[in-house]
Amino acid sequence: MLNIDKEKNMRLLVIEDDMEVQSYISKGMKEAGHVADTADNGKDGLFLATTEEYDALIVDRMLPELDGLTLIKTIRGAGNKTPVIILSALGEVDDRVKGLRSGGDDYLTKPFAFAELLARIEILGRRNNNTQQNDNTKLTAGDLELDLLSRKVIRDGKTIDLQSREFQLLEYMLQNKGQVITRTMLLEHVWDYHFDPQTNVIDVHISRLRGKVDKGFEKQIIRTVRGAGYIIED
Amino acid sequence: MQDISSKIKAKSRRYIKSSSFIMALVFTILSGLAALSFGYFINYFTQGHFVETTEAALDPEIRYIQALGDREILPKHDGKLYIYLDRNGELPPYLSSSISRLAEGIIVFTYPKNNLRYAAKIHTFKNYQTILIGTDITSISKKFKFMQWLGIASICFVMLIVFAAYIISVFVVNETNKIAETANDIMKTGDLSRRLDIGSKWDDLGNMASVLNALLARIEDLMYGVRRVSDNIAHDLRTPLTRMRSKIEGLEDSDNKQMLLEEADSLLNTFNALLRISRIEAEKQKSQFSNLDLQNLLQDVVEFYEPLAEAKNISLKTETISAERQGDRDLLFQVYANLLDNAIKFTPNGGEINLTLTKDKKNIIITVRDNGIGVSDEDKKNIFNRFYRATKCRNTAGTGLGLSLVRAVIDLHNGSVEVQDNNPGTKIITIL
Repeated sequence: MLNIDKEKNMRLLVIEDDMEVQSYISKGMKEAGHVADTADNGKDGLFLATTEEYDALIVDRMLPELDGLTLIKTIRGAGNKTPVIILSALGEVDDRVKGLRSGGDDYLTKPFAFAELLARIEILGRRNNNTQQNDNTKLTAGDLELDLLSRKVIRDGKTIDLQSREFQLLEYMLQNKGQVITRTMLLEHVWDYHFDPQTNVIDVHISRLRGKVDKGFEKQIIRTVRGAGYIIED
Repeated sequence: MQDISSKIKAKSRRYIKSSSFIMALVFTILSGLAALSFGYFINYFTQGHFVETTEAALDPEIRYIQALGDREILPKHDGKLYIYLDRNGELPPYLSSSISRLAEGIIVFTYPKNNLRYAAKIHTFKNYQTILIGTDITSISKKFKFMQWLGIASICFVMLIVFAAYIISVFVVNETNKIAETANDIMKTGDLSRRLDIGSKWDDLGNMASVLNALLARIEDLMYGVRRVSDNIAHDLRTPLTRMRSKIEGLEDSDNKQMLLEEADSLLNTFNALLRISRIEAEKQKSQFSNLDLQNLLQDVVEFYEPLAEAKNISLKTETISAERQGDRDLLFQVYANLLDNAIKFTPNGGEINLTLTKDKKNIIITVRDNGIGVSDEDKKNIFNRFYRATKCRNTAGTGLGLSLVRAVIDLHNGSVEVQDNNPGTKIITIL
């Protein structure tokens, strides 16, 4: 279902004391083509994180021996910049802020869909590996081109008129081309509000965008990934 | 200027509304009246008595002298004084310096030869000879003076009582107001670590303050416990739910799996929403407050929901002005997202939704109006309660927690929210 590209394989460390959640994550990650080490308490986790090289860490917030936030602060204090995603049952905004302030790169509230975690970890891991795409002023996908400077979108030689939010949506998805983008990720990055939309308004926004970008073309650039979100591919 | 006068007004209102102040005031007025009438009585009676006594001493003497006729032989009675005056009836100059009038025809003076006080009447004989007949009133006069002093002293005493009552009532009013203010602050901010000032240890107010402080400490303890428990519940329940959800996810793709996932998600959503409301209500978290323009926020909400309204052919009109205040932007966004979501849900195709932001002197008023199905009077009372679903919308999707969250967040911002009829439809007014 998800594109498994051997070149994108990541080495992950999962620090989680709930064995079920731990094996569910590591099993899922292996299926997605990644390698996952595990630790079931903060001390072992800290030892592994400081002695081995990882592309990303998945850290539960409440851990025995050493809690997740202290662990992150410790490795950050030692100059380790490995991306960290925090898992927590505490989902209020201030909890999230505290988590991100302690050095986490992303925050995911339990329970989460595995697809959500996978999408986020792949974006984090990739951001760590290559940042050159940020320097580009033009983002492309197939025959579609988005110019960040002139704020124009052209597909197959024709200019597409987009509203500013639609432009932002497309820009964010193009920046993460080839990665699954979940609805919550769109909310957080494009709208910049942490809230719970009671209805699936995001889908309506995407279908509007599709109406402008994909309508009349045989190749659909924006694809729906069932149970997860959306993906843009060449 | 207006501000100062309104402050003074508010302050005086506070005193007028205070029971101890009113009691002190009434007590003061009554005791003042009592003292005044007492003083008046003393004065009136002693004066009357004094005149009577003096007349009683003088009149027989005059009758006696009249009986003696013009013989000019004056009797020698104890404590009496006889002075012949000249033809004009003028008083000798050595008397006139200390003379005063006591009553009709009676004068009072100090006789310089023996330094005694005399009350006297002037009698004119048939031969136009004038004589002043005096009686020694030194001792009665002393009594009279004493009574007068007593009257003045009692008035002064009452004035002291009045003053003391005023001081006490102001003290009591100030102390109780201080306690009320701090308590109110604690309620508003939810900062249970604050304590009341204990001004003095000996009085009942100080005692009350320390009892209230003990109560606050107890509440803080309990709240901390509740927070810990709710965090634990969140952790302990969400973890197995996560497991359950992940197990469902691990199943092979089927319609059943999708259905189970949706069920699990809706269960989790309800659970999360409930926890969220409880935390907002209990903690009064203001750590995420920042200065924000509600106009921008509303524009973002509208922009977010606009495609949904468009899909139902609902016209979404906004009329806003810039309005800055402190607030939690994520929570406020959630509030107006919930309200707009409801409005769109319960407005039929082709309807109209209006969102307005107005300001008066103190408040920002944001109103969401729709011409949808409306809310019955019965439902209006309960619509903000948890899990309450209006009869008309039992069949629509939703947790019954959306408006509870709205109220919790508006309360957090010290605002108010109200549902009214829009004839047809619903009008929800939030005042911040």
